[in-house]
Amino acid sequence: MTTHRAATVLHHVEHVMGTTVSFDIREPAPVVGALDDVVRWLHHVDATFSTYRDDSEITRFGRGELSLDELGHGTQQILLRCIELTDLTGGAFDAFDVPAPNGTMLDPSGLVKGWSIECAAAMLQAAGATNFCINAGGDIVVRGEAAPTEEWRVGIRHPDHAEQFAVVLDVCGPIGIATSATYERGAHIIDPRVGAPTTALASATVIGTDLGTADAYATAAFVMGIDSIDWIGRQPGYHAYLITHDGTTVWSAGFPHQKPVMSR
Amino acid sequence: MAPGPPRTPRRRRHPARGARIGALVASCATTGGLAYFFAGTDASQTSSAISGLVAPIATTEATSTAAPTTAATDAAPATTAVTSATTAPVAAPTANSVVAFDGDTIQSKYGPVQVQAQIQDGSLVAVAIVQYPDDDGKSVRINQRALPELQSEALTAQSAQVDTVSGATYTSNAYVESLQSAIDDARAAGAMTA
Repeated sequence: MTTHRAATVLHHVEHVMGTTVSFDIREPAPVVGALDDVVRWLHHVDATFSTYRDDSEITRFGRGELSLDELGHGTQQILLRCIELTDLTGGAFDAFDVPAPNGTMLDPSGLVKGWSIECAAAMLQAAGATNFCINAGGDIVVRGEAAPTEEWRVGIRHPDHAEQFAVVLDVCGPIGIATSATYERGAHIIDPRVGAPTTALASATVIGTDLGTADAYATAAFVMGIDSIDWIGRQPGYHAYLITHDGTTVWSAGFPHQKPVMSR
Repeated sequence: MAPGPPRTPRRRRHPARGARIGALVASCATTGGLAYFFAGTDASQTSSAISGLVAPIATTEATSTAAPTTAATDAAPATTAVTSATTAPVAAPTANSVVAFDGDTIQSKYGPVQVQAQIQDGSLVAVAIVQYPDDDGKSVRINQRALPELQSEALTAQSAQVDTVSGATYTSNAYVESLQSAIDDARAAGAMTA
């Protein structure tokens, strides 16, 4: 195990989209002001897509106050992508059939978070950064390396112990990593196919080329249960690591686990 | 995504900033941009992303299954760090020291929630729980175990074991509100520059 290694040239934590987004940028630094632009972008996404705000486009559309053609182009594209993902997951991910905080049944928040962080990563890359990690409440995009010839080390939270890891991954970018789980009492993920909370798994982690898709797939895998490992294995570019309540761990063939350290 | 208290104004802005943001937002929002970001069916990207780490995926070779192991000590590199940082003292704002700002106490449907923002060198480095609902002994333990990821992320990163942590977050509105008020106080006091 290497000791810590590359200097972080820029570290920033922003509270936005109902979570904390942290930026860890290694050399080279992006141009001055790029991070401010990214932060502004994330707040714009929040204002557009928040299901906690009465005035967001997504809330107004969910309530029928706006029609599809009155929505911004980006919002339309997100909704179309939600429909595609519902098809791809056999209905296990369905942003149009889940209870949202605003009282509607439209909640694309998981996809939106992943998508917006991918956009943030592209903005930083356009501004000259090549090696960085953005963590949005446990959903991660990684670009480049942590240090020359060194992968990023990403811990996957142990479902029962917040300060422990179930597994540690060594990855180079570009990659997105998303985890679905219900650690907290009272928290739940609804299976849209039956309209009731699911308890099939303790945790589902999906890595792949696009964080928004990985997030949707993690939600779908969590809902589908352990058998979803075969389904995820058939999704090109995506790999999964699933943990059941009894501590059994299952991963698809391409999952880049460094060492399975799951313990109870 | 609850609208928190009013944010303190951010730092100076470049005159061309608005136009640039507009252009970036527009480019991200275009179909082409989305097609790029959603290029999730291109398997070659992932292969290159993790090349050298794993063999190329064979979709017919579906799964591996492992029984739980008992490597508890290997699995818990950050335990000590969590304990020390949640008790970080309030210190004078000198270089490298951690300065703590308590957030407002917010009533949630489960009870009062109050968090503390810990600032070091102008940045938020950790969030500690001051108060969390404790209708019975068990829930305190469960809630503290379920601290939002920022805390474990900041602390595990400091522990030099991993760079970042993936996990689900269920940040309650009360947690977010309390944290925002602590951050606002920290900014008002000039302790936060990032």
